[in-house]
Amino acid sequence: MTTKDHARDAAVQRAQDFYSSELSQKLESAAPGKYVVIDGNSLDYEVDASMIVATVHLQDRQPDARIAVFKIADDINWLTRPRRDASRPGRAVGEFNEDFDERDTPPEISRSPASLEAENFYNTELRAQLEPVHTGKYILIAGETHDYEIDADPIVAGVHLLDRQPDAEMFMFCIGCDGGQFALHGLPISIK
Amino acid sequence: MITGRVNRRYEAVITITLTSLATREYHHFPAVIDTGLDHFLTLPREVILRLGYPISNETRPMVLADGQRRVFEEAVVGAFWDGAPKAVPALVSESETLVGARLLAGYYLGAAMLPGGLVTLTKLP
Repeated sequence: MTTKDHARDAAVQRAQDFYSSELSQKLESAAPGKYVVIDGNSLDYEVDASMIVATVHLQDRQPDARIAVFKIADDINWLTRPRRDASRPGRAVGEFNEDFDERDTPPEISRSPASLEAENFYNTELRAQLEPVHTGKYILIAGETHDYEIDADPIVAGVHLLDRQPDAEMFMFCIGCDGGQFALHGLPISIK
Repeated sequence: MITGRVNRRYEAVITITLTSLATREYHHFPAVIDTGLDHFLTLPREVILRLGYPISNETRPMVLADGQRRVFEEAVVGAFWDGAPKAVPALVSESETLVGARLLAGYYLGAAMLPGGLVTLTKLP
């Protein structure tokens, strides 16, 4: 075990102790079924119904967080249950190759008016200023309001945009990518 | 409506359709429905990379109450879901293709729990 592993284990143990002694009783009545994500170093924590959202918010405040996750008041935790990975041998690469042999040419799909409006907003209002500095990052644009968020990680961008627009339908674009070749171009994306 | 079958392990299996990032070809994969998975999808690393999607640099180490430690990587992949294309967040796994509860949100799940039984996902109004 390396020094780094020892530090990580100590942080995780602190998070577990903190959850048991300080949080579990309080949260089990206030937020049953939600997730609490704890940084084992600072003991800062975040609670949310979505593990993704809680983790992104905590990492916003604690970029180097040693994160421990607990599902509040739930004995059947999806990650503590025996996983199929543990009981079934992994698939050989050859099996994936068989899957890849089965392929279709995509049908022509007409995009929603909201998606086309978001793309038009990007092209006319944002493209010129964003492409010089943000090429390769993702932009998520909210339908109707056209509020937007940019990040190298589209999941982080989505969580931040939903912080401001909780009910927004979000459309995803890659800045500086050729829309005709980018499979995710203008697609709706859900984070929560 | 999305349909599938129950396999001999009594797992509800549907086919998910994923888009290659560069070519936009569709590829079909069997996926086990896992209502205990609080996420959209898990996909094998091999599949994500073969489809050409980048895996996020943001790994999210997570440790549970029993001390079990898991480090997750994430990607966003293009899928053709119930007749429409959408971008879907996915956890990176080593071998499992699972459809989680958040992708099933808004659907009625029915499964005849016998080998070969019909699995249906019907969009709720």
